[in-house]
Amino acid sequence: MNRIYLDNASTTSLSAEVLNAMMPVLTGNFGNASSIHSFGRDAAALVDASRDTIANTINAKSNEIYFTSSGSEANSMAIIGLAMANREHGNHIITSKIEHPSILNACKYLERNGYEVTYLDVDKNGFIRFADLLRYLKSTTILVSIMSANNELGTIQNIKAIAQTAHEKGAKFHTDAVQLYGNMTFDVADLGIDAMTISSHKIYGPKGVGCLYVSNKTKIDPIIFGGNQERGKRGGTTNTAGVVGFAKACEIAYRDIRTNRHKLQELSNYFITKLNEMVENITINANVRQKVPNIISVTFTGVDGESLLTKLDLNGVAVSTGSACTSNSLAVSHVISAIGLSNDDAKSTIRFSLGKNNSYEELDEALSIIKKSVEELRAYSSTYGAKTRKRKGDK
Amino acid sequence: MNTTVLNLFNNPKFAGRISKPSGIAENINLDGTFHVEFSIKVESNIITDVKFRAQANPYIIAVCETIASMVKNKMVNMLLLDEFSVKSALGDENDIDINFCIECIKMAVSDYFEKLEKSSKQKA
Repeated sequence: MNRIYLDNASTTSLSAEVLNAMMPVLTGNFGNASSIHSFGRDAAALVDASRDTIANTINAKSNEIYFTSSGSEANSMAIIGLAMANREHGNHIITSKIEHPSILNACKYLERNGYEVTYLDVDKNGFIRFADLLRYLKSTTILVSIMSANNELGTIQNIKAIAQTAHEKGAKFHTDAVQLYGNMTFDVADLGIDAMTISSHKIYGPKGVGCLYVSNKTKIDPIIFGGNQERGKRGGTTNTAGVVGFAKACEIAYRDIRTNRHKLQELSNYFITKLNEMVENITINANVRQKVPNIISVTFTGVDGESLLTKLDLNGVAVSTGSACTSNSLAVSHVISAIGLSNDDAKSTIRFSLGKNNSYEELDEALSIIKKSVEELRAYSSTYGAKTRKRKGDK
Repeated sequence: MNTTVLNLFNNPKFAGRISKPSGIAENINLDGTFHVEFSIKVESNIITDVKFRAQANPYIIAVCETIASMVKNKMVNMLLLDEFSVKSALGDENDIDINFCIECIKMAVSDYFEKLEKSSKQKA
């Protein structure tokens, strides 16, 4: 059985170029980048060069890049570290209801520790409303954190305007760019971003490494304590091989950005068109132009998302549910709920996320399997007929 | 999910609805996330056929399959079903509530008896 991977928003495969860049470090440069001897200096040189590479891709300075173990850690560091360091200016933070759990849970932690957090609603496509942002910004607002592109819908926020609005009220702006980096060029100075999260494994780099960009004008406290690594802002021995691989992945993403974006847009258009032709009673969520092309959220009326995911998996197609169901949790996705889908529709939602290695042949095969699986599940769905009859009646 | 659950989910033998059922019932779980329906055919006091329909996750579909296989060819007034026996048959220590599925098959049986009583009264 061929296996088809359509879950690239969860993680991507390691690129061969990246692996080649990492191999000499994994096999030869084992030194601790903080050691003062030559082994350490060799490792430190690689880390510094990697920092330069990543900084260059976003028009930042090298000393504005802090390596972390993941995007989640970078997000936690951004929220908690910025809130702690800027406490004297206020205790209010604004974010949205559709952020990654690493942002939302860091905010909840701060709420338990005397901070006030406003969670902005989003519209049916996942965009925040500027009127809401303006309404909730106040003199005590120290931070606005809005993700660049949503991981379930793909919606791209107008981060330049959000940053500008935050700055006008004296607040700092952080964005979780994990899903957008590699899809769009970033100029942090032009966009007015004070802090930004990037993750390696979303762009064909190794897992276990990410970074937080923090502008030199922005104060941030560490949340992981140790030695003086990352200029005292993040303790822990540097993952040299991971950092080298991450930098290579950033370099490739930046180099191939137009080609990849074009390919993903074409694949995405093809997939959506064919899916609409082949499977009836589906809804493409957040089907707007301002989105990353590779993330496609689809609601299959009358089909349980977890069952569809499992059936697809048993037939070799890997996807995610839009809802965060596990076998033990019946909670629906906070993102899908936030855009106003009913519980039933939220539980019938699947996220397909395409990658640069997908082919049209793979999509054709996946589409046939999707059609067959949906038909099988609908054939004995106890609600499907009733739902479609109701919908026809509604019109 | 263990292999038994996955196999039952992927190859359901009892999925569907009996065309002229002797008894039929539907039920939802407490938080309204899953919906199931059982239909049964009863002949000479024996459940000769059973089908289910569901909009539910793979585990619940496997539960419905298991229930169907446990009640088929059993006497309609002698159903001994509980959560433990169904979960034991599946061999999966899942904490998802399955009682609404067990209630549903029992409701289908009740529906059969109600119809039977109604028809006896009409004949009388």
